[in-house]
Amino acid sequence: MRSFKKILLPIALAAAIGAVNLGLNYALIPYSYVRIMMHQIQTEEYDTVFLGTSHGLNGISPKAVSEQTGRKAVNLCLGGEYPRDAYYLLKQVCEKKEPERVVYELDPGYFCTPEGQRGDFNRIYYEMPASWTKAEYFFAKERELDFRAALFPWFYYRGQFRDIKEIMAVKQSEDYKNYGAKAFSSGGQEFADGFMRNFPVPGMKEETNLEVWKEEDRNEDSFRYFEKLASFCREKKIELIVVTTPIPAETLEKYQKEFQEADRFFQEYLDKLGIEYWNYNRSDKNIPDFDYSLNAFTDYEGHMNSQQAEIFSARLAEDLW
Amino acid sequence: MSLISMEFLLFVLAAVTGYYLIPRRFQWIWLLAFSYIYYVSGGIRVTCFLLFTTVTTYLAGMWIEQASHDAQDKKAEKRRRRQILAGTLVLNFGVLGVLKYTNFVLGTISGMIGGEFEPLNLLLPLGISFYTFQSMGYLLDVYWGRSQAEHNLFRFALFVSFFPQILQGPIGRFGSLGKQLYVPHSFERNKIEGGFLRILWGYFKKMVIADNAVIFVNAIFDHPDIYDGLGLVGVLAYSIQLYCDFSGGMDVVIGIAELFGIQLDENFKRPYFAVSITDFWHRWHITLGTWMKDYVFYPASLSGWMKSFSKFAKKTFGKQTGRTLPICLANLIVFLVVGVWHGAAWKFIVYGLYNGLIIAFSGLMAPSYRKWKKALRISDDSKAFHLFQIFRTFVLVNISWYFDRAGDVKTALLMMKNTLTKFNLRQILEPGIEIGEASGTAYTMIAIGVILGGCLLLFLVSICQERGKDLAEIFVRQNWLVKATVYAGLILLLPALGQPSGEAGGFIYAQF
Amino acid sequence: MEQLLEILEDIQPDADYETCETLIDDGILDSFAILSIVSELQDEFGITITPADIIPENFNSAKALFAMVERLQAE
Repeated sequence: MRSFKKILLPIALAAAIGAVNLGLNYALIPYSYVRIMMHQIQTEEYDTVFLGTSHGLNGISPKAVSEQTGRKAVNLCLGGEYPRDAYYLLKQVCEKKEPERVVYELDPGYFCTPEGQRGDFNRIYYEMPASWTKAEYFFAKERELDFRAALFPWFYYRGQFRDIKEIMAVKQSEDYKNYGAKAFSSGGQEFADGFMRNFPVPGMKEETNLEVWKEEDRNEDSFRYFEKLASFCREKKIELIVVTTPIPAETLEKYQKEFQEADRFFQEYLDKLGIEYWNYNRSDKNIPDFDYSLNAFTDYEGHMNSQQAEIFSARLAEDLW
Repeated sequence: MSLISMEFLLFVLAAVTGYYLIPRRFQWIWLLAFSYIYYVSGGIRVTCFLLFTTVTTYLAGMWIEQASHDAQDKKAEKRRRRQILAGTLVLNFGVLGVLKYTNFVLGTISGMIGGEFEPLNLLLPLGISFYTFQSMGYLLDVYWGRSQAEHNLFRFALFVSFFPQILQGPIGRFGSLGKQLYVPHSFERNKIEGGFLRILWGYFKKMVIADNAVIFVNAIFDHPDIYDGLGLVGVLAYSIQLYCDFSGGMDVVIGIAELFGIQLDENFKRPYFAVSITDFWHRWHITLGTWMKDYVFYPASLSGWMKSFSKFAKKTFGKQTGRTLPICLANLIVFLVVGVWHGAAWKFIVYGLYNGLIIAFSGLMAPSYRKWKKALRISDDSKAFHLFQIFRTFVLVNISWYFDRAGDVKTALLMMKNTLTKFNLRQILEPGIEIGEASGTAYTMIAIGVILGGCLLLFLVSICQERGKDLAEIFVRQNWLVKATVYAGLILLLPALGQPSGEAGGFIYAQF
Repeated sequence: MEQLLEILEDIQPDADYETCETLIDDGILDSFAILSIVSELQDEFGITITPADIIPENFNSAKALFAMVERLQAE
């Protein structure tokens, strides 16, 4: 009896902490479109998968691409999604069905900065359904992080305690239960057609700190996982194409040297891997009716508004077909 | 593998579980295997340096012992042992010195001749300062006959590489640690419970107190021009950060060793209750202090040339001063080494010398102090005088923290001046001090509240400890409900009130 | 022995050297005091004290100190 109690107590303690933990996850972590994406790739089969960063999230309309190419597309681009995350997202997609084609939206900044605590960096793991891929992903990523990231997902949202009421209200709504996107409509954007549609904000934008390409700061993990992604695609006979989305002419001009250097570097790098690279900032990839002025973009970094995104997606679909 | 990473928790869990499942006589081999897995996971190339120190020290220890047995005449024997010792010391401290100080020396030289200098990209093996000091201490112990040489290379390798402590100390002694590492340990519930509490307490100090304080420290010390009125807040926050970061890391390390049934040396004993700078160094980074005392301070004081200096001093300054002066000089050497140990920069040398000079000065003045106290009828036992001593020491220590943390000596001096002349607490609510993922004054107030609350708890615990209460021992005697509540409370406070521990996820002292 | 007690009294007056057996363990003598004592002993008794001799067992009481001096004189 005594030894039974000895084992039982630590288990009871762990269970109690686990219960509190689940409650806090529910109360503090706001609903996210990452949950919708995970739901989509679990329930539906896709032919084209977009992976990449916030530029892709704001700039690529999977609906437009699907309609134009006749192949069903899903946009899994996210702010803070590094090649490591993209690789495991793709593997998760493949648990349902292997796509024919993967389009990786490349932001050189993600290849020369450390995988930090920004954007949805921990969200992808949190929302991923329990699966072998998730276990692999845990050992590839969560393992190295602060133990609070994996054990207490609400840790990064503890500042939300003032909004508990709204967060819980959203989670109890019908919309949430049906994986709807009403919660993501705000004054500035909405999540519709499978991507984040930014409303146009005309006018000048303030200069912000831009993560431009610096070869000396290479993030070796990003390269390693990108290459894993590439060989995974080759193995599964999935076509892999790399694109870089347009950015404002003003930004491009100011950082001309860095952008040219990045273009040259990645062209050479991808040539070596035998992968096509379409950089839509090059003159030969110029999109005729696309407004490249800073006025049209929603910020200095070059996140597109929804009108730009439609034009860009149409062109991308054309190139993909 | 950082002490706060998920993989480290899993690693410890695996190590502890296996440790008590395998036959006990293999336990030390199990520890050795895990220590090397831990080290190799930090980079296979740097492991060469660890192996180098392990093998050279092991062989030198054996040779020194052999020489004592073999030699026919005493003089030849002494010379031989000295040669082996000196050779090994030079080799190992040479590696440490080259890896840590090449850039500083070359940079200083090129600065003097006005050239440009591109720092070399040198490997810095994890914990190199700690394991080098620990190994060289062992060798000197063998040389002086305080310890016997370890004859089993693998056992010795475990002493050098024992994983909880290799990263940031405490610096162990072969006499006490060696024995514990090799004997079998049976599962003791009390030790596991106490060790677990100690680990949680360490994480609490690090994540909740230090990582909240660091926000203010970085804002103020990195922008001394903007926050010129907050020098005092900055240095107090730094004194909190440094203590909680370093001693919190020690709690985690010592707690983990306790899970294996191994008692490491304590590295901190309520340093901010110290009554003098000497006392402070008996309470702060204790194992470094005693290492310096035993292996630098005494040998330097007893060396031949110091004896000559002592004779000269006694003739020139009279008996009392003449006797103390050489000790002061040896003491200055020690603190110069301590300063340099903290980092290759002039500010650390100033930091070391500052401590050394205060101790030397109070050593020289000790007889006068005694007279003054008698004249003023101040008793050492009076409470008021005791508090005054603590306050005085705290102020002196905080002055040294300016040098430790500020960008350079000039900035440190400027900040001290501003602390006295421009004090303005309202600056703390100016936007700009970024609190984790959200900035703004609302979060500033929360962070301040957390720091103060955490410090209050730390203060109460420290008072109990200072009065000789063994809190861990009291804790394990409580009933299960109390224990479970304390565990659960500490565990949940880490994410609730803690801050992310920076991109490096590191402890300050893990870079030494 | 008396000579030794005189030295100790001179260096640090406020301790009971005849009975105390924990001069080091209780922190009555700090490293400054220890080295002052060593320095005086070397001068007065003509002995050489090495780092190997500076261990608590040799300094915890006047008796232990005296034993160390006698041993070193014999060498």
